[in-house]
This record gives sequence, C-alpha cells and structure tokens, in this order.
Amino acid sequence: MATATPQVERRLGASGLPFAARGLLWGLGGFVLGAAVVAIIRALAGVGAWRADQAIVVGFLFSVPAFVLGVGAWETWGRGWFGLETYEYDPPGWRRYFGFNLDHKVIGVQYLVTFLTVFILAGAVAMLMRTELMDPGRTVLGPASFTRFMSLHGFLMVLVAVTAVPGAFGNYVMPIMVGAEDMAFPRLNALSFWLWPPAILLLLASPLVGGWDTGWTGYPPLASVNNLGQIFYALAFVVGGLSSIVASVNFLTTIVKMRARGLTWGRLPIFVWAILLTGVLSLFFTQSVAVAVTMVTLDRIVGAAFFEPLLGGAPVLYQHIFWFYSHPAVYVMVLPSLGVMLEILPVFSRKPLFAYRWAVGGIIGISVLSGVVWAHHMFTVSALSNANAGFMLSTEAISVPTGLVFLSAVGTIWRGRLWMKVPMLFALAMVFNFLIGGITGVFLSDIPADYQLQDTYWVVAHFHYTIVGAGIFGLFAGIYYWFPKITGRMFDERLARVHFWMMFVGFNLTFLPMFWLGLNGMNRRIADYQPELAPVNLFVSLAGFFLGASFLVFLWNFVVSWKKGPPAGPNPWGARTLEWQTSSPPPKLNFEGIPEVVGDPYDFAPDAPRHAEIEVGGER
Amino acid sequence: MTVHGAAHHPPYAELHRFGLRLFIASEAFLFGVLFAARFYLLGFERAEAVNVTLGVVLTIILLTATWSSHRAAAAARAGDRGAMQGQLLLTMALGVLFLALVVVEWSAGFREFPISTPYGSIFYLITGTHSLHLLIGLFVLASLFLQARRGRLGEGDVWKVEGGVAYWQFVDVVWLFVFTILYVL
Amino acid sequence: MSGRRRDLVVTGALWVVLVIVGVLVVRSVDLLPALRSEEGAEVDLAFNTLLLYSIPVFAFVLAVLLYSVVRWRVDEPETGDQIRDVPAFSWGWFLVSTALAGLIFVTPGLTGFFALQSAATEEPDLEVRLTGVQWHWDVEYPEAGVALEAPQEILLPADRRVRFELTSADVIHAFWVPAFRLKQDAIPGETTELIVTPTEVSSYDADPNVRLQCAELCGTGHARMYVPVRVVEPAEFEAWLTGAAMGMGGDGMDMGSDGMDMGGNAGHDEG
Ligand code: HEA
Ligand code: HEA
Ligand code: CUA
Ligand SMILES: [Cu+2]
Repeated sequence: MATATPQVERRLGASGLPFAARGLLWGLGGFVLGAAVVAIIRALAGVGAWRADQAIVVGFLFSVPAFVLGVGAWETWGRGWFGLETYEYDPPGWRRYFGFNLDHKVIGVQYLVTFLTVFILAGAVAMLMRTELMDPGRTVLGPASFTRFMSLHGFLMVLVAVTAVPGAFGNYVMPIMVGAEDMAFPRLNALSFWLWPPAILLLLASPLVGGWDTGWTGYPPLASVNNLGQIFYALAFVVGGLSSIVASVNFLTTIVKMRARGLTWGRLPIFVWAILLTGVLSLFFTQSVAVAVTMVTLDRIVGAAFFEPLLGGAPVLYQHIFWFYSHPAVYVMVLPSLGVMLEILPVFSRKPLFAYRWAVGGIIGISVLSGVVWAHHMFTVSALSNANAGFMLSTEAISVPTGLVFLSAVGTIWRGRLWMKVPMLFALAMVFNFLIGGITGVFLSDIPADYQLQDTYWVVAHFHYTIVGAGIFGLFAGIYYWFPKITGRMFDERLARVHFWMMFVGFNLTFLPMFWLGLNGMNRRIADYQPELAPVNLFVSLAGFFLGASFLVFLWNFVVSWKKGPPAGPNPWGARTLEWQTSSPPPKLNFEGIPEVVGDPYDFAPDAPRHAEIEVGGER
Repeated sequence: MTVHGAAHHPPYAELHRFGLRLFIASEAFLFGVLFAARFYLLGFERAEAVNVTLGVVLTIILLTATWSSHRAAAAARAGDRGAMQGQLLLTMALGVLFLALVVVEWSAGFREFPISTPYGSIFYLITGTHSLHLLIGLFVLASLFLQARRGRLGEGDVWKVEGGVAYWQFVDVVWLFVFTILYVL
Repeated sequence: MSGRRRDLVVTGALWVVLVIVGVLVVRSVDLLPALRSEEGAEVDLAFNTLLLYSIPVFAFVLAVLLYSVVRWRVDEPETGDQIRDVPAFSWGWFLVSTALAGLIFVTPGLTGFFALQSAATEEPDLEVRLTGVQWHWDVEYPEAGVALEAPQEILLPADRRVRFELTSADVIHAFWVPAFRLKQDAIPGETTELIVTPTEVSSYDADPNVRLQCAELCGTGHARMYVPVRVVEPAEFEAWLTGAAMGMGGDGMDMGSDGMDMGGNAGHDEG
C-alpha cells in the first residue's frame, strides 16, 4: 500500500492549473495519438490516407483514458499499477472539485452540478424546439436542424435521467445512510464520474459536425448513413455506459458489504433499496446497449454487415439489443427518484413507511420483470406475431409491482401529519405525475391501442410524465431535501415554493395536451405538423416556456442559498436516517464516531428508540 | 487506501472479491448478448472456411494459460514470490502467443469471410471483443508482475493476485464458448 | 361516527364522485378523431375500454391524495398515527391490481389482438404495394399493373379489404393513416403487411387524418413524408385504375415525381 505523507497529499493539486485543465490537455494528446495510430495503420495496410470517422473513434477511445489519468488518476492510481507510490488528491477549497478526488461527498457534488448543467442546456434546447413548434411551417429551425436538436435534447436528457439522482445522491447520501465512511471503491467511484466529462463534451461538440438524425434511439439503417454526429452519440453511449457499470459495482458492494452494524436488510432505508436495484439493472443491461451502438459504428467505419440489408444484415436486431437495455434503463431513470419520494413521505408525514416489505418487493419485482418486456417498443415491427402477446402480458404485469410503490405512498400519507415543506410538495406531485405517466403507459402496452399511439405525441407525453414527472421531480425533491445536508445551509423557502408551483403547473400544462395531440394525428419527431393542430401546439409551447422559466427561479435560489443561506443545522427536517445524525455537511469520514443501527429508520413515535447510536471514539 | 480504510468494514480483500464477481457477471452479460446476436443473425450457419485446427490450438493455449495462472495464484498464497513471478510470466507469454495467432487468423479470414458478410461481422466482433478482454487481462498480470518485482506485493496482497487471476480465467472460459459457437456449431 | 370511520367514508365518497365526474367527462368529450376503417374499430374499442378502466384507478389515488392533504395538513411537525401496515389493505391492493392487470391483458388486450389477427387472415379484395423512400412513398397496384412513383395522392376504394405490402428502399419508414388507426413499419430488406378496410368516402381535404403519414423517424424529410389519401366509391376507383393502367395518368392526375427537394409527396405549402 502506498504510504504518502499527509503534506504531499495536501500539496497535490493545491496550486497552479486545476487538474481538470491538465486532463483536457492530456485528453487532447491522447486524441492526436489515436488518430495518428489510425493513419499509420491505414498507410501500412495500403488503404489510402485519411478517414475522419475512424480517426475520431480511435482518437476518442485513446483520449478518454488519457483524460482520466490527466485529471489525477495517474497520481492517485495509475502509478500503483507500475509499483510506484501513489498520492491522494485532496486540495483545499474549490479545487477539490476539479480533480480526481476520492471522497464520495465531493463526487456526489461533482455529479450534481455537472448534470444540473446538462439538464439546463438540454432544457434550453427543448425551448428552441418548442419555439419551432409554436406554429406549423418553418419558425426558427429548418427540418434538418430541428431533428438534430431534438436528438440532442433527448439523448442529453436521458443521460441526466439515468445519472443525476444515483450519481448525486447515491454517491453523497447513500454511503452515509448505511453508516459507511466512504464507498467500497473510492477510486472506481472517481473514475465513474470522470468518464462523463469527455462523453458530455463530445455530445456538446456534435453540432459542429452536423449532429445526428436518429433521435436518442439511434435506429439503423438511418444511423448507418447519416451525419458523423452519429458516431459521437455511439461513443458517448459506450463511455457513459462504462461509467454506469463501474458505478453499479461500487453501489452494490457498498450496500451489500459495508452497512453499519445492526443495519439489517429489514431496516435499510428505502432509498438504499432503490439504489441497490438500480445498480443491479445498470450492471447487467448496460452492456447490451454498448453492443448495439458498437455494431452500428462498425457498420459505418469498417463496412460491417450487421444491420445492412443489402449485405444480409438485419436492421431489427438492433432494436432488440437496444431495448433490451433501454427498457430496464427507464426504470434506472425512475427507481432512484421513487426511492427519494418514499424517503421523504414518511419524514414529512411523521409516520413509518407504509407496507415497507411490499414496497421493497415492488422494487425487486420491477427489476426482475423489466428484463422481459423490451419488445413493447417494437409492436409496429410485426404487431400481430404471437410473441407480442407475451410481451403485452409481461408489460402489463409490471404495473403490479409498480403499483406497490403507490400502495406504500398513499398508505404513508394516510393519517399522517402532512408538513408541507418543499421536499414534501415535490414528493406528493410525483405521486400525481407518475400515476398519469404509468396509466398512459398501460395504454401503450395494449397492442390494439398501440397501433394508433406508437410514435405519436401520446408516447412523448407518456415518457415526459414518467421521466420528468417522476424522475426529474424526484431529482428536485432530493435537491431540496438534502440541500441543507450537503451545503450546511437552508434555501429560501418562499422562492422554492414559487419554483415548485411554477414547475408543477407548467409541467402539467405542457405535457397533458400532448396526449390529445398524439391521438389526433401528431406523430413525434417532426418539425412541421398539420395546421389544425396549431392552437394546441402554441399553447403547449407557451406552457413550456413558463416551465422553463421556473428553473431560473430555482437556479437563483440554489446559487444564492449555497453561498449565503442561513445555517441549517444537522437535522432541519427531524428525519431519522443516519445522514441526519451527523453534521451538515458531514466531516470527512462522515461521522465523529462509529454508527450502530439499533432501530427502525421510520419510527416516529415519540418514545421510539433512535435509528442509530453513534459511539464516539469507539473501535470499528 | 491511505486515508480511507479505518477498517470498520470487511477487509478490503473481501470487498474486492465481491466487486470483481459483480463485474465478471456483468461481462458475462456482454458476451451473452453477443452470442445471442450471432444466432439471431445466422441461426446455426457458419463459414466453412473457419480454420478449426487453429481454433483448437488457440483453445489449448488458453487452457494451458488457465492452468499456469492457477499456479501463480497458488504460489502467491504459499508466499513463493519467485514461483509466482515465473508462472505470471508464463501466462503472459501464452497470452501474447494467443493474440499473435489471432492476428494470423484474422488476416487469413479477411480473404475468406470478409467483415462485410454477416458471419465475418459477427466473427470479428466476438473474437475482437474477446481479444480486447485478454489484452486487459495481460495488462493486469503485467502490473502484478511489476509490483511483485518492485517488492510492492506483500503478505496482505494475495487477493490482488487472486483477483487478476480470476479475471484472466474468466476470459479463458469465455473463449471456450467463443470457440464452440464460432468454430464448432 | 368515529374520526377513523369518517375519514374512510368521506374519502370513499370523494372517490365515487371523482369516478362519476371522470366517466361523464370521458363520455362527453370525444378524444379520438373520426374513425374511417373497419379494423380501426378494435383500436378504438381498446382505447375506450382502457380509458374506462383507468378512471377508478386514477380517481382512487387522487382521492386519497386530496383528502389527506386537506385533512391532515399541519404547519409544525407533529407525530402521525404510527401505522406500519394494514395487511388486509395491502393484500387487497395487490390482489385487485393483479386482477386488473389480468383483466386488461385479456380484454381489450387479447380479444383485440385475436380480432385483428383473424381480420388479417381474410382474403383481401385489393393489393397495394407501398415502398418508403427518403422521403416519399411509391405506390403500386400490382393486379392492375400500375406503378406510381411519388404520387400526389393515393386512391383507395371504400368498403374493400385492402392488403398493403410494405417495404423500404433505404431506411425504416412506417405506414400510418391516423383516421384508419393502424400502423406498420416498412423495413428495408423485408416485406411487412397490413390489412385495412376503409369504411367511407373521404379525403385529406375534408379530414387531414386521411393521409398516409410516415411514422418512423427517417431523416430530414420525415415530417413531410405524407401523402393525402382519397377514399372513393369502388366504381370510381375501378375507372381510375383502368385509366391509370392504360395511360398512366389518364385521369388527368399528375403521376410523376413531384420533384420536391424534400417533404415527399405532399405539396404542403410553407410560409
Ligand atoms: C421513467 C421512465 C418510464 C417509466 C417508469 C415507464 C413505465 C411504463 N411504460 Fe414507458 N416509456 C418510456 C419511459 C418510461 N416508461 C420512454 C422513454 C418511452 C419511449 C421511448 C422512445 O421510443 O423514445 C416509453 C415507451 C413505452 C412504450 C412503447 C410505446 C411505443 O413506442 O409504442 C410502452 C408500451 O408498452 C410503454 C409502457 C410502459 C408501461 C406499461 C409502464 C409501467 O411501468 C407503468 C406502471 C405504472 C402504473 C400502471 C401506475 C401505477 C399502478 C397502480 C396504481 C396499480 C394499478 C394499476 C394497474 C394494474 C394498471 N412505455
Ligand atoms: C430527463 C428527460 C427529459 C426532460 C427533463 C425533458 C424536458 C422537456 N422536453 Fe423532452 N424529451 C426527452 C426527455 C426529456 N425531456 C426525450 C428522451 C425525448 C425523445 C427524443 C427522441 O425522440 O429521440 C424528448 C423529446 C421531446 C419532445 C418531442 C420532440 C419530437 O418528437 O419531435 C418535445 C416537444 O415538445 C420535448 C419537450 C420538452 C420540454 C418542453 C421540456 C421541459 O421540461 C424543459 C424545461 C426547460 C429547461 C430545463 C430549461 C430551463 C432553462 C432556461 C430557460 C434558461 C436557458 C438559458 C441558459 C442557456 C442558461 N421533449
Ligand atoms: Cu419516412 Cu419517416
Ligand atoms: Cu419500455
């Protein structure tokens, strides 16, 4: 084991350029190197000079490890591979966020800020799209740029949805909740974060090469023939996927192996359960999407035949592989947020989580079933084949475990004392939104109904109700709930309420009319529609702008309160789980002593034993 | 770890073993998807030109490497650092030989079943993915070897060798499946 | 009445009221646009049945939510009733939702599925081949030997069972006529099919949902990849088809490629 003196550790990255800047430099170097390798191989093989797509693929694959090493993985990790001494990166102040820091709390904040930024950017793109859709015909974007911005919006948002909540709160809060002092593998944890910046920068750069046309689903053969941006999409998917896999290994190991003494499975906070099963889903299924986009890339850059019908390939194969991942992925988007919701409801109702076992069973059931429903995205490939009846059944069966989450939610607020603080408002809104999203999903799972609904704005409305109405509302519920813990400060309650009501009203006004649009002949992914649909689209766009404006309120509150908010104290909400039994923000190793769990996390009876005792100075 | 690891959790070796198992399970899914794609696209068809003899040789090489890597782990457990380094070196040599033969096989294959045929596409994708994993395994073994040489692998670090070997053996086992579905069926 | 009883009764009443309101609303507004095909009736039946089923589910959760928020709202934290589970309720929930999922699967799911399946096996009266091309549709009436490249309009006879054979010349497209309800992908290298029986004379001018709209993202021209459909009396259709077979345009219609840079067959004027 490396034994660096504390002084050396302190000094690492404490002055000069932040490590992130060095990472970019190294990454650039890696890119050039990779591109050169391609050029040399091509020259040796005598197949002519330059191919931009091949150079980009190989260049990027070289640049990612170079970038990660450059942001500090070299000193903290890489040196060890060669039997050299390693150092920990832990400079004081803001710099700690700009390098390969191993503290899960730092990493949680890195995830949160990064993905909030991506969310705002992708939301700004949505504003552009809604401007174009305000009236039929051309408004601001031509059909080509609309399609590309739509693809960018969809994909960036999907990345936000699968990453933000587990990345931010799975990292920051979960280890504290289980009473650990960090994640099981801090270096893998830092790796999982630092894989993201290259992927995100690549996507943000994709408009420079004309973006890509296929939406977030990337179906070939269109994906095999359109712009170079398609490759950016594929590379970002692979690198982001690797990050998810690495992160899930960490989550699972931490939860299974590092729980505090006394934290039995039956006492585990529900958010931790949600992260656990999210980890299982990403661990297995993410591999599949990497295969799908890799195959498309090979079709493009070396002329492989996977999806090219003229060469004997099968375009539909892509859809199977893609949805084999991407259906479980929709639960990756929502389970952590549902975990946040079920965490908040008991605290602000001052009641135990209702039917805890059923809720856990529901989360597990969802995860098990989500691997066998993928073809419900492909009903229009061959709607009446018998296999689809099976997929209809499995899809409808998944409503049952999902319903158990609702059982737990409504049971918890029933006869509670509802303290309507902002996190609670968000959690209650999630119950409402997700109910609409879920029920409209059942319409889609019905083969006859899906004949009309597939690829229309009904689907667009359905998934914004689930991903945004539950996933993103859950993100904001979590932000408001844990903001005092993470920053040590309280946000401005009044502004937060303004944000909530604008967001809730704006969200429903934006997306509810889309169901009607879909039924009435508006297909998705179009820049232009039948003139009869203009009034409703105008209304949707205006509501969308109102929804967008709500985030300006949020941003203002977030930034100002982080800097100047009043101190929040360790436990402003009177919650019982472990993260509230330490200071805000928590000390480096999370607790001033060793936590031992002795009671239930949700027992709010006045005479109930504490959830955990923290023994100061004890031996672990 | 330096600062972390004040040791209230299970020993790092146990965490590592568990995490590695998860990662291997995930990788198994990767290959599972690839294998499924092979059958979706081709049924039980395969190119006649596949060099089965070479496939058998490759299999034997990797089986030998499995055995030598096993010996390396055993030597590490027994505290015999010299033997461990020797077996690691042998394993790596077999791995390099394997990769070299894959290159030979590919360059012959490009003529018989080019990548622009469905079988070719699947063949190069699966063997390529496998070789990439083998390359990672080689990197891990080389790192262990270097650390051992520099005296940085102590008594408490046996799990590191065991982990590297476990990953290596996983990649070997995958080859058996690759061989079966690409050369035999 | 004890407090507990009253909570249950009021919530139950609220639920009933919400269900009634929901049913009335659904009855009075027609969410679906006009239907103009025989097979589409199954789709509408399924949709409307699901709508009916979802009202009590939605109303139940909403009733509990609304009642709780109004009844148990507090301004300062206060301990709630420490109920961990009510097994009868939880089991009831589980069993009812399982039964409901089963019901949905059987009807409208399986019933509609089988109805459509058996409709698809019946002999068609007319065959039409459609080829999706970026970004227009090529149409062929093989029995009459008529092949039209990117026509400005597609003619179909009313009350005749039409079998569409779909394929694509490049990327994936999809057949969708919103007024007919049915949708089917057109995949390069494969032929897929769909059976539709238009029920009445209609045209795009009268109802914009009578158009063949591409419903699978296929690139820049995807939005404009639609062709007006005109459903005419069978006799008129036969006359037109014969004319088209003889002169490939005897009807005075423009059968040639529309020569548009994008936006396919539809002459959609853009501001
Ligand atoms: C967070 C994301 C999320 C979630 C949770 C869901 C949840 C569900 N989704 Fe959704 N879905 C998406 C995101 C999500 N979806 C996305 C992104 C797409 C589009 C992808 C693309 O093409 O771009 C999509 C598309 C999509 C399709 C394909 C549509 C098409 O293209 O034709 C289908 C079809 O079956 C479907 C079904 C369902 C079902 C049945 C659920 C169920 O899990 C819902 C279950 C919940 C409930 C039913 C409500 C609560 C339950 C009760 C109160 C119990 C009682 C109720 C009953 C027994 C019915 N979804
Ligand atoms: C997390 C997921 C997520 C989120 C949050 C959103 C948020 C929004 N989405 Fe989107 N959306 C998707 C995921 C998501 N979406 C996906 C997966 C698709 C499918 C893509 C595909 O088909 O492939 C899609 C597609 C999609 C479409 C359909 C496009 C088409 O089919 O043609 C539309 C149309 O209205 C739309 C609108 C919106 C709107 C108005 C919001 C709003 O909620 C956005 C709110 C606004 C903001 C967050 C911005 C706020 C910021 C400012 C106002 C300041 C701006 C200034 C600065 C630059 C600092 N989205
Ligand atoms: Cu053709 Cu969309
Ligand atoms: Cu799905």
